[in-house]
Amino acid sequence: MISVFLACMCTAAAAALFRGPSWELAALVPYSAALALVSGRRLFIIGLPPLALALLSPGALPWAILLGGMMFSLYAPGRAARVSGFLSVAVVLWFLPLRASIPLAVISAAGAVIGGGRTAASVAVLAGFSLSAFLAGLPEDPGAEPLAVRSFISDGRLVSERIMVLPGSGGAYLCAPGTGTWAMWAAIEVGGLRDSIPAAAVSVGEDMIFLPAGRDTLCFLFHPGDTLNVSLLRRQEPLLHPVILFSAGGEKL
Amino acid sequence: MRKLIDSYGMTIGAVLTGIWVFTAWRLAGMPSPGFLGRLVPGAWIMAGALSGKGPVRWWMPVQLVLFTLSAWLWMIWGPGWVFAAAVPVAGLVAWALAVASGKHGTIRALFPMLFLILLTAEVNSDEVRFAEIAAGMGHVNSERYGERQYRAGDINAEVGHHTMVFPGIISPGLMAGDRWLRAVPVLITIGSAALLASLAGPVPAVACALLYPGFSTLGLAMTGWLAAGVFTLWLMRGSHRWGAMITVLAALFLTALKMRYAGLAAGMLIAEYANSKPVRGKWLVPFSIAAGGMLFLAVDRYLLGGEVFWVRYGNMETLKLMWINLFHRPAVTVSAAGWSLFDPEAGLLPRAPWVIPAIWGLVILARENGELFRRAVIPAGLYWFVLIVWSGTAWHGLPAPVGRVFLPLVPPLAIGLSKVWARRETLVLVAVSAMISAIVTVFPHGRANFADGTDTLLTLAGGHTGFSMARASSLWLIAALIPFVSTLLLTGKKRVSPGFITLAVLSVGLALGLTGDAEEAEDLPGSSVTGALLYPGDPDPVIRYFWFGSRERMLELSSADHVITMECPPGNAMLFLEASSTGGRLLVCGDTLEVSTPMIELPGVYRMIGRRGILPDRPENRIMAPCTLLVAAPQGMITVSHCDGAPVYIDRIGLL
Repeated sequence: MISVFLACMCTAAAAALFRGPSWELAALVPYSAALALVSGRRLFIIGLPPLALALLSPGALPWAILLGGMMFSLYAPGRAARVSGFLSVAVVLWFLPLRASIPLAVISAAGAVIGGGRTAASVAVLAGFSLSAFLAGLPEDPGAEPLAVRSFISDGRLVSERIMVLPGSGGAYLCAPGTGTWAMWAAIEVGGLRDSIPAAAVSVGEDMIFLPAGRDTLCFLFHPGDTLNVSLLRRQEPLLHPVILFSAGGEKL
Repeated sequence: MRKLIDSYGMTIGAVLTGIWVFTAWRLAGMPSPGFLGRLVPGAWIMAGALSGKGPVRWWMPVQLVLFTLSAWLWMIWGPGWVFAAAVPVAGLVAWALAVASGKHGTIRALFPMLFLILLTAEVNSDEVRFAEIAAGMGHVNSERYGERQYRAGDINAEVGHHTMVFPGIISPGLMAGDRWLRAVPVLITIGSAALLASLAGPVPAVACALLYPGFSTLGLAMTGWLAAGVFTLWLMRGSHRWGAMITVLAALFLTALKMRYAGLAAGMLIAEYANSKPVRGKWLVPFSIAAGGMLFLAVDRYLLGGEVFWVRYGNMETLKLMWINLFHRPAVTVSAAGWSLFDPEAGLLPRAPWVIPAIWGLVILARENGELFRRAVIPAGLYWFVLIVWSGTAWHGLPAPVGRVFLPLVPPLAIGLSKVWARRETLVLVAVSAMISAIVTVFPHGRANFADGTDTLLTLAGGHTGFSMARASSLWLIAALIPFVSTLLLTGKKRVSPGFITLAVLSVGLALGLTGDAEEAEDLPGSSVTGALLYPGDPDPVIRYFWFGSRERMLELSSADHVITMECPPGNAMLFLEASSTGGRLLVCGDTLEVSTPMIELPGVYRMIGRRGILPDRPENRIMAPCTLLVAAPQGMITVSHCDGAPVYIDRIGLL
């Protein structure tokens, strides 16, 4: 048990040394404790990959630990391991500026108190999570940066990559090339909705247009310094999962 | 009711899994509801129909919980849905292993995963070529494969580099229409897996089929499983008075199937001969035959002008190339061998960690049955050796499905796996491998890689690594040896500390997560690059196979619209740049930078195989010159754009 904890801590320390320290790494302490407490059990095998993923990619760390910590808080056999799982969830949620993180923390805490071998309680907590996610979606990151769309220019023609805008992603933008005027088109596909209320906002310079579900192609002129912005207006709702698919192209005039 | 659940728990569990996966997929709004959202539950319903009697297994509720928790992940992390969808598919692999030992278990176990693979893996790569040849051979009425296209490696527009054997075998399927292209390969796969089950036991055989490298071409119209099947059949035959004849026929068939299997065929002949009665001067005979063959090739090449063996494989130049790879650039060959094990894009171990305990299984086999060990390991080992020595740095054969070149290693590894199956460490690594197969099943793009240093699965997870055959120094392989040897030693012990396992697994995660100081220019995010092109524009690695320096793609800056911007703290900054050009100028924060780099010289060894003259003036044939610049960036923004002159090709760029 101690050896697992020490191994985790050594690797986390190495990660801090190589990449520089970050507060999110603090979540590894309770998570490692939970992992050590279930060593020798099947849950150990399931709990190890999220930790490896967390070390593999700093971006995935909070989400991997959140998922693994929730699992420990709900299903670890001992209360100490469940509480350690809850602590790792709490640390991650504390440092992530997420709305609606409280329901997740409450579910995790409830699991830590009543989970473990009690199947009915576990199922109830799981159902609670599913229902909460179904009704309210998962907490979005309000600080999410808009995604920059990459463009390729060859022989006076511009082609952008095709990207997807999801709720909470912060939208996307495409910058105009530094020289000349460009005749542009933008193909915008809005889906995942069951009504005709506008779901996407597209703006270039001072012009803005709102689009409902469906496929639209917009034509416009692009000058140096202009930016094409695409953002999603609708949030996640039960059975409504709005999404935008976007690509653009153009020719230099 | 209780009795029914006890008797048919697995059937009921599988059907309920299918229903819940179908429902939760829609409730959570996961992408691809109409395709994967139907196929995955459909595969589980099929699994339910094939389950037969058996109790519910412990992992069934666990996978349901994991899927339920992760189904919503895509809302906060785009690729999260792939990992969520992979959970029930990994469950299908576990189900297959659970039913494999029953009646007709091997065949039942493969069906649901084959169903998924056949519908998600696009017809691609060599499959298209085999289909074209098959359609042409029998004048089959084929709309899709009616015309033959020239491909890299072909001798000319009319004559391809594939033999007619495999297309001939699969052609009956095409007679029923284009959609039946994979009918015969599926039968071959099932047959080969069934043979493997007779040799190594049903559960290891199914594991080998559903995990990499066997998974890479499972059911696809490629030659790997047929070669593995023939090899297995040869291993099964035991002592037979027609043994030598059978071996010769099998070896000839494998070589005719694809020249890549010549090493395997030679290994089979050597193993057969090695197991024969010891006689004085026994090894003079094969050496004489080999020398005679080489003499014949030399006569054919230099006296007959290559009239007999004019194809690219079986001629004198091939032998010269192997000589060069072995004796003139052994370091390059050794590093190619190392990357064939560890490279994240194409190596054996990153996608098939279960191979590590299987190696210990082979050690056990060597103690228990030396003859079978020699017969299994000599051909497989020689195949790998010839693959590396013959193909050099192009051993991986990308962008065709990752891992397909390792198929002939499957039979000995299956035997090895059967010896260590019951160990806990084996099951851990099998579980990891199953998850990799599951991710690739629901993310078919992950089946291939482009040898550009960006593994599709790592990229999907949001990570990237400098540890790659295309990017890193071969000395980095030493770093890979540490977790490999640790894991190898740990899995060999009877009792293993979980702490050591943790350390080995996490070391791999950490090593893959490390990156170099400067960004690879082609990896720069969209927020940093406007307009710049990738060179070469086509991601096909075949174009870059024989570049002499770096084999990565580059960023091309050739017009004023091509701009790189990088944020930095306001003030002065140190910018690192590695670029080549025939004489172009860049504008770096308002200052001009002239880039003109000399041509590289043709490495001497290439002259030995007949290549003459100077290299064509292309970006990849110019030296990549590194430079460090002190630039003033009072606004905290560095811009690099093309000023005038020839295009400038940037390999790496970053702030120091």
